[in-house]
Amino acid sequence: MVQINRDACTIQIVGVGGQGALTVSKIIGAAAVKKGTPIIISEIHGMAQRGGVVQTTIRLGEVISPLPFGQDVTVMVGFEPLEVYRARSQLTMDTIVVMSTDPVRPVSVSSGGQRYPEPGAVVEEMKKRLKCVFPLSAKASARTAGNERVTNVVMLGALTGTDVLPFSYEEMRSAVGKIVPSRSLEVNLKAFDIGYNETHGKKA
Amino acid sequence: MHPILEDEPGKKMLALGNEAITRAAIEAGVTVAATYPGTPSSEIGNTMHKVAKEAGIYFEFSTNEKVAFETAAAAAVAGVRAFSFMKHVGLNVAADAFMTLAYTGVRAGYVVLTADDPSCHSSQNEQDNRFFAKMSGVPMVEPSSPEEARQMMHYAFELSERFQMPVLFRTTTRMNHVRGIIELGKIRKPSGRVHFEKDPGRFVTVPANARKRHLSLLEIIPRMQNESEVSPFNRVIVPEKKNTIGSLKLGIITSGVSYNYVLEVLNNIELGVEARVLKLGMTSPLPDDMISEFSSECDLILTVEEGEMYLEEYVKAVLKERDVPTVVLGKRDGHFPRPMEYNPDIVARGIVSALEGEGMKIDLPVKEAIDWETLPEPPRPPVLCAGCPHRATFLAVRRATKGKAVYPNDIGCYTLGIQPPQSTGDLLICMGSSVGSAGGLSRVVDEPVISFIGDSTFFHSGIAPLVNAVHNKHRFVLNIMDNATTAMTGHQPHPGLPVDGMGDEAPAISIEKVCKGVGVEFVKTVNPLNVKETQKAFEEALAHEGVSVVITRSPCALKLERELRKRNIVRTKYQVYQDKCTRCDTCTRIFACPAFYKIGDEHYIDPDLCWSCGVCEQVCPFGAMGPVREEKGGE
Ligand SMILES: Cc1ncc(C[n+]2csc(CCOP(=O)(O)OP(=O)(O)O)c2C)c(N)n1
Ligand code: SF4
Ligand code: SF4
Repeated sequence: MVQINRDACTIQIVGVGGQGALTVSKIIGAAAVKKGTPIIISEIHGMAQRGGVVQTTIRLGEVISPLPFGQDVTVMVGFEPLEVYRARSQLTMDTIVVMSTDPVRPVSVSSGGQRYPEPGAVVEEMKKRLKCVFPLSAKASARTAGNERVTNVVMLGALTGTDVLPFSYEEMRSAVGKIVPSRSLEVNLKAFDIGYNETHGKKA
Repeated sequence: MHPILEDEPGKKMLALGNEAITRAAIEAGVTVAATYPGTPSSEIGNTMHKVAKEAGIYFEFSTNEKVAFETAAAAAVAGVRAFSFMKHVGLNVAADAFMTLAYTGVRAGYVVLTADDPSCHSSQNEQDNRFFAKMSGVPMVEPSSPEEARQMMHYAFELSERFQMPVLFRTTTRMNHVRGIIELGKIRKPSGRVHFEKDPGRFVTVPANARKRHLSLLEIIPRMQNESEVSPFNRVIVPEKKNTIGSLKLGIITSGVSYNYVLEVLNNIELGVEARVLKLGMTSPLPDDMISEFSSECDLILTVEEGEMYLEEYVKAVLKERDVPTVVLGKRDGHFPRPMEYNPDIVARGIVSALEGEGMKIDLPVKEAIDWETLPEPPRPPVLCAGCPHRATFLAVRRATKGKAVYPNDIGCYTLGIQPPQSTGDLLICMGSSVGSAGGLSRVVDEPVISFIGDSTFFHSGIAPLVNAVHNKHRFVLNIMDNATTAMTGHQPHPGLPVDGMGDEAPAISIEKVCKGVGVEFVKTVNPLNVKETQKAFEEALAHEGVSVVITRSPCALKLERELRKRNIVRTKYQVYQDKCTRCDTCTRIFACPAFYKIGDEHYIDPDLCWSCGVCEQVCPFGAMGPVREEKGGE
């Protein structure tokens, strides 16, 4: 039996250092503060260097623990396909997965002779085991929005599009405006919308 | 104005644990704050660095934790509120001063924060600093959440002034690096200058005075214990929903972040017990009466705590002394682990294991196992950034030594040199150990010794052992890797830079002059991005009798890249010229820049990752790597 804490929505973000997960959690945080939704965010970011695995857990609702029991994740946002696969033990069949299909190859692959899993194979594996999986190329979407670096906000838009967050499209957009610097707001909102349309009203 | 300075009591704000603590220090009217950076406490200093001037606080990044501790301690002795903060191992560095300040005490509030790091997310050990409180007699508090941390800072300053004692504020990574909602309190203005009231009988710890002060400390401890009995942060909590009825009365004694996990478990799993929790926020001295009363009302006590058996052993001793028959279980019987961070699952398994030992049968809810297909899962350890000057230095050193040397390393980004293909880390204990250990090694090993130390670490704890090495005529090469920052902990300034903690201009201490000043005869500075020149400098240094120093100076690539990006400067990226590449693999085999990647056996450079250091051009034996040739440029 799967035990789910009905009071909480738990979002697990997995990715690689430097991909901008922190900004995403700050934006969700801004939406929560605005609406008065309780929120706890836990992030493990040890070192300044890029390239390591980064995990962020966001819990929305009446809970006090930054980490859930039973590793119950309502939705996993994967900034990188290998990291989604690596975090698979945190997934239940009901976990919604929103994932980028753009690989960031670790040095163990580029210079260490190890093999990288086919992103397509990871997506297929997820789809085979879970009910709800949304793969997207965040990089291509970010490029369309006008800046390759806003993949994180594309992912945030896609997360919002799944309707699991207790915040509306408008509430999230206004939260984006609170956190990102005004000079890049337009690109970020564009990225958010592209991501949103990737998942909103779509069947996984 | 920085949001953390907003004077709007009652306003709610999402804050990182470390920001909540900084805010509370500002609210409490802290006048002097000092630190040496260290994860997981670094963001406190980073935030102070940004706001100190506006808040009217004197803040410094001290040379090391001992200096930070003493700077703030002196302010509190003089009579203004003070705050020093450091990672757990930093308190080892400050321990000499910490232990004796417990004798003299302070006149105004002094809070000393130690940020422990169970699981070693970014540390060299998992030591449990709660024992520093026990060892010294200094009172200690431990928060569970950002808002509780904010409130506890006020409490800690109040305790400190009431008992004229420094207070240890102990956190762990999941406290410092958790974001939660805090409610802003009123800001008290920092003090101005005070007159130093002389009292050498108290503050000069010559033996005669120290003996007397030890007696005063022993007299204060029971009074602090009385406070612990009535402290608002020591209280009994009954879970809201589940586990309020059952035949067995279970009592859990816990503190810090473990408390969160205990509640998560009790609120989610039906254990069939009547559970109550004694949440301890003031954990030194511990409240004997409260513990024994709570325990005597329970059939079974579990102590849930990360780290060592701090609570467990104490609770067992108190119950024994007071003839309370309740059984206490924790780590000693193997129900809870000693290493690594906890999480709700670990806590649930511990509780169930203990209850089953008592003859109960509990089915922990288990997830339906998903049968995953096995796909490749290459590891992703942190690596030196593309363009990092340290990688280039290691290449030059390996060429100069042909890999035949012993390489003591130190703590900083360059520690990552332990990984292949750099493989330049053979011994590392703690900050500064590269220099001290090099002396010892050079006396016994049959290969040359080349040590690595960063600029910030050199100032922290590298100078004294360098003096030692010169005086004792050791022979080794010390490489001071000067990237003009404390990179690993988030790019804080240090004494070698022309800026201080307040953001003001400051005299930069010259590493060259320090080395020459202490008597090093061979001191050479090179740019590590020039591999040949650097290799040559190391060859010369190796030939030198005695201690030689090579300073490799080139800015941290990550910091530089961020600055360039702010100014919208894009430098020319590098590429592989496919017509010249012979697929010899030299680049990946000996250099392994993270921007390199392969498709089949063809080499490429990812322009998004390349930071234009130009070293690969010097690495490729066939001239197949160089600046991007297309007119359009890199991106
Ligand atoms: C006693 C102690 N204090 C602080 C730290 C945290 N820490 C790890 S490395 C480091 C300094 C790194 O700076 P530097 O030596 O200049 O190397 P860089 O990272 O810039 O390459 C610090 C402060 C520690 N490990 N031990
Ligand atoms: S942060 Fe700076 S010093 Fe550290 S690995 Fe990156 S470039 Fe090198
Ligand atoms: S690809 Fe070459 S130029 Fe670019 S960062 Fe790596 S080594 Fe430096």
